[in-house]
Amino acid sequence: MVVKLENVTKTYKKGVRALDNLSFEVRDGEIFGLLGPNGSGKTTSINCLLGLLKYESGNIEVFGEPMSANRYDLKAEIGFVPQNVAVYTELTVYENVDYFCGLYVKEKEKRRRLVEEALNFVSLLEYRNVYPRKLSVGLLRRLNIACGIAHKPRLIIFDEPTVGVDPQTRNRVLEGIKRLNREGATVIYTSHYMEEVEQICDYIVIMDKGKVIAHGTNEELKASIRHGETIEVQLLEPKKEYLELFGKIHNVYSTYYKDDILVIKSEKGSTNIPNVLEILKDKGIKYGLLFSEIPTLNDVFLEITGKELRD
Amino acid sequence: MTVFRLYWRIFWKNSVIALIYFMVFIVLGLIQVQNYPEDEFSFSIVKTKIVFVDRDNTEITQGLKSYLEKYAIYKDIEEGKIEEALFYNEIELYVEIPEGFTEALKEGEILPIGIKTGSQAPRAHIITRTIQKYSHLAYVHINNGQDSEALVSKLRDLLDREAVVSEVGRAGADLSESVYYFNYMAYLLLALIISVISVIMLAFKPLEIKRRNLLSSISNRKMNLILLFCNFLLGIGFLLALLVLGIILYPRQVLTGSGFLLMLNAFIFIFPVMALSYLVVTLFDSKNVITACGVVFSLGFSFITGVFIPQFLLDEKILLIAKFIPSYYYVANNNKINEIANLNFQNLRPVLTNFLIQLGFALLFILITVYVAKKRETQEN
Repeated sequence: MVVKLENVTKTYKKGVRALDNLSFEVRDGEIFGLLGPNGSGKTTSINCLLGLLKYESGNIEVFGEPMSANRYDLKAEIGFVPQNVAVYTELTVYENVDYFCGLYVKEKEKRRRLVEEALNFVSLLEYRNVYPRKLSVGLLRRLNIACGIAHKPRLIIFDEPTVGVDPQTRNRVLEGIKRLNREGATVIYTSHYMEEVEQICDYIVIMDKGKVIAHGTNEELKASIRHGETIEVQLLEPKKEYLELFGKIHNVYSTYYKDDILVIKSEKGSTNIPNVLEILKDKGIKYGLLFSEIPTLNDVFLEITGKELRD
Repeated sequence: MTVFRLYWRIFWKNSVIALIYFMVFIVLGLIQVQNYPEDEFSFSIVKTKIVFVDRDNTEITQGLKSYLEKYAIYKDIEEGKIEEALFYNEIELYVEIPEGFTEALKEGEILPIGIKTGSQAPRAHIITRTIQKYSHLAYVHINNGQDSEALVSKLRDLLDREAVVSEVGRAGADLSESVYYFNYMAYLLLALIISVISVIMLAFKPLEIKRRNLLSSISNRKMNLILLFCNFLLGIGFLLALLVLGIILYPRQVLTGSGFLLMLNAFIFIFPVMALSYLVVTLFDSKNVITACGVVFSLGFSFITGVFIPQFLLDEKILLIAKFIPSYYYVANNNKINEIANLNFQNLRPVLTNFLIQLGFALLFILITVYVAKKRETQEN
């Protein structure tokens, strides 16, 4: 076990309980996803895990050892990529990576090699002499990652690394994380973007209000809910009576309108697309688009909490 | 060494600002020092407009009129308009020598001289005093058988004679000019240290950067100690640069026992200034605000603690406020060191007390900084 959190409780000074008996484990070599809406306690749990925040009760272990603020031996094995870009604006790209790597690696030649590798990894070699204020948001994010991974840590924590970046950079970041994992690093990835977590994580913990509300692999989480399929039909003449009409289909447990789109939700089992198409044809209902969606982590979150993950 | 190197890299990146500050301050300093007055006070005679009516018209009274030309400008005004002229300040004094004045002196009597003053009475006072002195000296010498012709030039000599004051028993060097430079140094040190050190420390302040550093394999305490050491080195660097300039400008004054005390005073002064810069960077997050603090503190402190204007010329209420500022004790110490004729423990006691007060301020600023930092840390937690 690389990380183990056991009944960790953290309350901020104003009485806000950020973590409420939080427990989870991260296994060696996996990409562990910590998913939850903003304010669910993801960053707080990471900060507690890193020894950056004090907590009232519970235990945290890293690499099988109790973690605390002064466990510098354990910290040396951890890489951290914070949510906001944390680099020195007075240093160039190279100097920044060299500084953060230098906090762990003293040997000059080895450090030089590691810095080059990190810059190459995030494709910033050509920007090595550029100052951060001259970099775009995407390039800054990549620099932020390079600073966290240059010393080749065994455990790398990414705290919402794709907030505010364009899709291209996002894909590049996610690909990079998978590569780091393939090269042997255990990764903890926190995000409120379910698609990202679905895309790269082997094991997922969904958090809300400082608690774990669900955990498992992507498939396990989706299998754990009642929901099976969402069919959305863009009607040209939406009518209220259609809600009842489509609601009578076998396995359908909810129908509603989202603007002029009729949403039909079915329980797990066979697909209802043929049944929906049949009714549309028989009743002569005019429609534009029709598409079906398999369950997402948002559905898991919605079914457990009654609210959207993006709320 | 990683943090040490980082500190100096950040300093180097900010060194242009530091250099500009330094050069501007040095130039200003040199201009100030060049303009240092030769004496602490200089006077110029302001002549008083008077009407002089001589009804006696003898050699003695003519001699008086001639002597008073040194202080007076004679005006011709009709007798009937004297009161009006005094009221409208056309003249400041009306002098009337009565008839028989010289004869009366010979007979052992001083006839009263008619004097009328306007609103500028203080200036007229010099004339009336001179007239009185002249009358008394004439009275004394006439009664000792001196003839009038020789008496006029004798009276002139006697009245022009000035008291000679000489200082005795001073062992220490006269530091007047270098004290002026050292006082001015308080402004330079405040401005440089607060502006430059605070801006460097600001680079380490963002929470995410702090956390990234805290996550490293270097302890927070070690990191803070390295930063403290670097700040100390930088403060010493600024001080040395200014001291070297002081030695170049005033080698005979600075390279003495008293000069050494001035240097020691400046060394001690950098402790409260550095502690103040820590407090500023702990309280404020914006580079612009910190730079403004550097300007406000350096100029403000300098104006009210006697850096630019000598302390003895400052209002008592201002000095009362100044006593809550370390530069007051720094400047007071420089002045005190200059006053000390013999360097012995008894004379140095007030200087040592001021050293302790300055260090006390450093401690106070550190305690406030620690308190604010702890409070912030609690908020972050």
